[in-house]
Amino acid sequence: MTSQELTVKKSGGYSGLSNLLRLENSKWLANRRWLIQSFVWFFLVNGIGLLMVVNDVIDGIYVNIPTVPDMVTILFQLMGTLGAIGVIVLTQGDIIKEKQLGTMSWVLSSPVARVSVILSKLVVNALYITGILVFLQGSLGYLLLNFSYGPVLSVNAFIVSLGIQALHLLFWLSLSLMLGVFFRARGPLLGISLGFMFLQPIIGSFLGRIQPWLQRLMPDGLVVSAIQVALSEPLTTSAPLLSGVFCVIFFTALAIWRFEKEEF
Amino acid sequence: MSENLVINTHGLTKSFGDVKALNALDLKVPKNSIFGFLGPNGAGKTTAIKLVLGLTKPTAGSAEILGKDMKTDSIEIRSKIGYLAQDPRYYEYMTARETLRFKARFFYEGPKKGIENKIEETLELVKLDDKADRPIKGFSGGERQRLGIAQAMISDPELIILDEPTASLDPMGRRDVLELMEALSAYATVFYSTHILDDVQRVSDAVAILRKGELIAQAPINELLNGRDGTVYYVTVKNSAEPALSILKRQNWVSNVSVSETGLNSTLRIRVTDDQAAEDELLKLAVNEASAKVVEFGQKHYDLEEIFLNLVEVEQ
Repeated sequence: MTSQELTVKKSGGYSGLSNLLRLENSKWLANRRWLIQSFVWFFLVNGIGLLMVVNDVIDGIYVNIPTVPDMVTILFQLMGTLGAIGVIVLTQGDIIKEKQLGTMSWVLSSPVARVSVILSKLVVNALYITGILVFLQGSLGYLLLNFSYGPVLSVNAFIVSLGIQALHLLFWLSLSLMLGVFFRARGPLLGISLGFMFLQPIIGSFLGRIQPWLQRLMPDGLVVSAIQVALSEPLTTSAPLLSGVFCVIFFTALAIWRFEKEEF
Repeated sequence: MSENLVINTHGLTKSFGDVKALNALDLKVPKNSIFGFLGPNGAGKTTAIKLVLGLTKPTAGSAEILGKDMKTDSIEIRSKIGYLAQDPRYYEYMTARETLRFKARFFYEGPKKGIENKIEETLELVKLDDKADRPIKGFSGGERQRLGIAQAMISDPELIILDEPTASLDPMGRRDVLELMEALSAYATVFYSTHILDDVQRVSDAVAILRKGELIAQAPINELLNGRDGTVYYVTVKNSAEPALSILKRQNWVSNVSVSETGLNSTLRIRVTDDQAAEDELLKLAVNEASAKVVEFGQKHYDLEEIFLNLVEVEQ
């Protein structure tokens, strides 16, 4: 049992982070999950978008040809709505399943800082989810639009709009992880996050009656902002962006704070 | 004194609501020992282990683990501990080699080749080298336990904590694990919980017995097996033990004598304070001075099960 040739790691505030990042990455690579998700989301986002266009062809003649703004709106609404559901479904078990199975307590029996667990899940999931659901599908959508309508959309504006769309999915990702820390079963996580997502219009209009600007803080405001930016239209408000960034930081901080107190 | 202790707890208490899972635990685990942590199911053994590992937080009390404060130096403590859980769970999609690689990377920076060599050595030691590249979801209970021990020892820890390491194993698996524990004790302290008393008697240097969250005994195993308040000898004589009884009671190295009768024979149980005097004098006194017809004589050796049941039942 010699280990003289090995360099021992030093403990610190982010102990175990690099190893946990590698672990989370391996979960996406195992069984080609990243590839399967890429295909699934291609059909869900661009596939459904294409079907909507094809449906408008009757006897080989295009009727009600959708305009570029229509197509951009469809693309971003699909990425936003289905993407939010996808994020919640894909990450609902990330923390809860590990708590239930006991792998979390196994990992935490090693020299691991608890903050590293949350950060690794957030960072790796954020990269894969925004990469597959937003940047890959957005890019393919952009190419299809370019192919069908010519170069009508600004590349730079489109990239910025995908960044806003990514922020929208980060909102749901950080919410899902935070709820995963607080609860030991998936029911409350799914109930709260999906409930909030579907009830956004009602909650938004209720908040709007209290203060009109409160309505703009809802996460679906980010989808509207992304569409405006993609079409090179002026932003009506930056409130969703500020609210989105704040919520991602707040949910992550709350998750870390609660996870430090968690007992296994 | 405390430098020789790898686990030193002071009034460690853990409550879940109104239930005290652990009550004022003062546990002292000496360095380089194989320490058996005994107790019936639900006694609080796993809770105590989780507290040591920082997986749960104490309601009251404190502890030094490997000389470090349990509350403030938890990560540093865990960098020197290897742990096998009662029902170990790993990432099922990983192979045994990947599992050990994942674990080793928490402890070692590199070089890569050194880590891979270490993994290979460890796999050979637990006899999993031929299954190293199979996903662990197909492993048997015994293989999982061996993998559990491998991941606990991959970092060359100073303290190895094993929670019920033999509970789910067949006799051969148990034997293998006990042999591994003995091998591990050459370079680390092995602290393990169990309720299998045969295992404890076979490999442990010291034991602590826990019941309903309270520590009811803690001693080196020999001390416990010989009787905690001195060595006990027995002399079985034919007919009456009265003459021998009165002579033995007068000896200053005898602290207590009791008699039980079985048919025509009587058995004296003599607790002594001086083993040498007892060995030299006891039989002579019984045969020569009391003229007793001795049919059996010897030192009473307790069985751990007997001691355990006595302690647990007396406390109840």
